[in-house]
Parts: sequence; structure tokens; C-alpha cells
Amino acid sequence: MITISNNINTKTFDQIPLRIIKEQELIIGPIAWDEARKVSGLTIDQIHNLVSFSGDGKDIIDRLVARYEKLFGKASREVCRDAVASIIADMQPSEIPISLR
Amino acid sequence: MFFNKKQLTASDPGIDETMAVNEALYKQNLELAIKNKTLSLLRQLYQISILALEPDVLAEKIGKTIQEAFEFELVGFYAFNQQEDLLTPMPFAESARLKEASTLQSPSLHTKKIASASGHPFFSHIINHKTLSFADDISSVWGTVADGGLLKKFQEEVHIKNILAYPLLIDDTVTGIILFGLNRKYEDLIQYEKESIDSFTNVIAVALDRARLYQELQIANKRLGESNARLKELDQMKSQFLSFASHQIRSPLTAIGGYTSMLLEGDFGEMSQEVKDSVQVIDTSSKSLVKIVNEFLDVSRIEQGRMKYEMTDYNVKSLVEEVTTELRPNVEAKKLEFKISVDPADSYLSNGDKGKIKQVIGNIIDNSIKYTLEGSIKVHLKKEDGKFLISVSDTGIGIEQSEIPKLFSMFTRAQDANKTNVTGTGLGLYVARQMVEALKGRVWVESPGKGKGSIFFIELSSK
Repeated sequence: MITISNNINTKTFDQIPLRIIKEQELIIGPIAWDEARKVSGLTIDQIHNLVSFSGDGKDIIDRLVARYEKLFGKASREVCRDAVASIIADMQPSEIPISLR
Repeated sequence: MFFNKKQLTASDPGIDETMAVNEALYKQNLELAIKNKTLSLLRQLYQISILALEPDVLAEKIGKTIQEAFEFELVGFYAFNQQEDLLTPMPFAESARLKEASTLQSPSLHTKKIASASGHPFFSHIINHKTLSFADDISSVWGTVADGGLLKKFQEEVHIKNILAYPLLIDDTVTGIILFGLNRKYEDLIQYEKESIDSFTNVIAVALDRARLYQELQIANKRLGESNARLKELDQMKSQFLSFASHQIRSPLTAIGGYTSMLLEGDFGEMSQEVKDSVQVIDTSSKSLVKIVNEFLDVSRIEQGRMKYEMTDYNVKSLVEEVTTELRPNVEAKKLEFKISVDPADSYLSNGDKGKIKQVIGNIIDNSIKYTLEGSIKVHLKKEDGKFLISVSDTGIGIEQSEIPKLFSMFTRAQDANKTNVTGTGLGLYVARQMVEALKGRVWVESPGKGKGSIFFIELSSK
């Protein structure tokens, strides 16, 4: 069960990069995973669909979004936002990574 | 479409151009991805629609699929009854947190019917204008069926920020409503979500309507089956009663027939002419009654599948001659011309129940005699294409074309039969057809019309 409280639920927050990568995968294919691996602080387990952080999660997500944007332009940032729209809808604005606001 | 990884990491002066190409490719791929996702969802919904036949099951599965695909808090359906102006809830698919809230403190939204729907503050817009409607406050949606304070608390708890609803239209008529509870404002829905909802509402409307029709058909079939079983039961009871009553009547009639015959034959001494005439009436009437009772018994046996046929080889020509000889006195009594003709044939041998066939031929000739006031009765036998055809033509009352198809049904008599002062049960021809068909033959009638006589045909197989 997904629980939402005033604090960010870690499990929900962890879903953000995975959602972004999978959405990008639908558009650009496996490159989405390759590019995500290049983001420092982000550990990817593509086989098990697992993503974990080491460091500031918001910052890592911002760098992931920025990486896609750098390669594919502004449209890719919109895709990232759309991919997590239902998740960030339940978060406080301050909890949302800047790139997804 | 492919993205060149070497191009992506290149740092040569053509980087801007490469970037522009990548962006363009990305946008095209994005469009394709959205279309793919929409098509994939539509395919899922289509598969559900062909596998689920009950409206509630279908609504539950479709709702769950959409709820999971878009992560909406709530996806539900209402069936709309235009005559009653009533919205009846169908299964609602809920998010995990909404389910939890529902178990704790549920306003039971999905169990409440909404009356006077076309005047409802939220649903009226959908019903009357056949367009989508959305509201930030769930009290405007369910305020008529639940307490406002409870709804407000519930809305905060489950994070529903918007209720969005679309009409389900069949032939431009609202048959239902699909409703979404969102954790975002309608304006915040992404393009894919809006386009998908637009695409699948029509599909869902058709699927639910088909399921509704299927359910109605199932109910009608069930009722029909029950009625049929009851009718069969009644029919069986009727046949049993008929059989029982007929047997009970036939026994005393046999005694009456026996004693009247003995009286007429002078076994009890000479009678005056006046007494003799009276006994003759009793004898004729009892024989007529025996015939009627026998017809009832035949019908009863046929209806209960108890009619037995004793198959033997017999000569059709001899049988026709036998029957016509027996009936000749009746024809002569009415001063009718009686002609019997037989075409030459290599053999007149057939196989069947001779007694039943004799009964049928006799019945048909007897009918012709009864319903012919003047003129002639002609009986003709011929062999054609390996089959015997017996025709009995008369100059009697004739038959309307419209009456012909029902003439061989139970309790059916020709329209002008009453004008001939002939009494009958209307069972003779029914029994005749049942017997002939059971013996793999055919019986039918042709008539040029009312007052123009008729021809009855009996077709029998040859051996």
C-alpha cells in the first residue's frame, strides 16, 4: 500500500527515477538506461527494475532529468514531468525536485 | 527510429546540428510512444470487453485497468435510466489508500443511487449537454447522498483533488457515466491521459451496452426456459388427463356399442320400428363418440411419444381398395360420385404400419365425404419416383389459402366446416400428419379456394 504523509514517503520518492527511465525507454529505447547509469549517485539494476540513490535524491533526479534534456531537448523534460505527475501531485512543492516542478 | 550514441557524445562543431536532429527524432518518437500507449490500453480494454460478459464484471475490470494505468484514485461507472432519471452505481475501482479510507470511514459512495439525475448539480451537465464535467469539491458530486462534512474529510484523506466525469453515449443517448477521482486538477492531466480518456469512453460505452444487452438476453432466456418447463409440465398433465379420461369414457362406450348391436341384431327379440330407429341413433352416436375418443387417445399417445408403429410389408393398392370399399356406402348415402383409379405399376409393395396408414387414408376420404355436399370424390393412386402418391379430390367446401398452413394443426377445422353440419374435433388431420410423417411419408392439401373443392395428397415410400 502506498501511504502518503506530510513527509516524503521514501518508497514513493524512489519510484521517481524508475518512472522517468521507463518512460524515456518507451521513446528512445535502451539508451534511456545507458544514460541513467552515467548519472552519479544513481545505482541501476535494469534486470530487476530497481533504482537506488546514494546522496541527495532531489539533486540526483535533477541531474537525471538534465542528462536527458541535454541529449534530447526540452521535450524530454516534459516527458519526465508527465511520467511522475501522479506521484508529485501528492508531494509538497518543497519536496519536489526543481526539474520536475 | 535510432539515436546514434557516437553523435550524442560528439563535441565537434556539428554538435548543434546533431542536437537538433536528436530533438526532432525524440519528438517524433514521443508521439509514437503516446500512440502506442493509447493503443495498448485500448487493446487491453477490448480484450476485457470480449472476455467479460456481465455488466458489473466488465465495469469492475475496465475500471481496475484504467485506475492502475493512470494511477487515479477512483474510477467508477453509473448506469443511467432515462425513464426513471436515475443513476445506478456499478463497481468502482479504488486506489489502495482510498480502499483503506473506505474501510475506515466510508461514505459508501458506490452504493448510493442518484435520483433526479438530470437536475443534479454535477451530473445534469453531463446528461443534458452530453459533455464532460469536473469538480474540485466532491460534495458537489455526492452531496445529495452523503453528509457534507464526512465528504470533506474523506476527500482530504484520500487526496482527491478533482472529480472528472464523461457521458457514455450510444446513438447520442446517455446510457451511463464514467467517473474519475484524480489526485490532480483536471488541467494538470497530461496530454496522453486526456487523449486516452477521450479515446476509450466510446469503446467502454459500446462494451457496457453490449454486456447490458447480453444480460437482458440471459434473463429473458432464463424466464423463457422456466416458462417452457412449466408449459411442458402442463402439457404432460394435459396429455395424462386426456389419456385417463379417454380410457374411462371408452370402456362404457364399448358396452353401449355392444348392447346396441345386439339389440339391432334382434338378440333380445324383435323391436318396433320406432324403438329400432332410436336404438340406431344410439348406435351411430356411440360409434361417433368412440371415434372421437380414439382420436383423443391417438393425440395423447403422439404427444407423450407413446405411439407405437408396427412395421410390415403391405400392398398399397389393396389397402386403398379396402378403405374405399368400406367407405363407399357413406358416399352413396350422400349421392356423391365416387371414382377410384389406379395407375399401373410394377409393384404396389410398401413397408409401414398398415393399420395406421389405413386410418389416415380413411380419415382423409371420410373428411372429403363429410365436407362435400354435392359432386364427386375421386381417389387416385400412382407410383412416381419410387413413391406412392394417393390423391383424394373432392368438389366440397374448399379451403382458403390462408387456412392451409394451419389445417394440420390440432383443433383446426376449415372455416366453412360448420356450414356442412359436420361435427368434428379438429384432430383428425393432425393425427394423420403425425402418423404419416412418423412413417417417413408426407401429407398435404391443395385447394383452388373457398367453395372450389380440395385435393389431399398422401405420399408413401415404396419398398
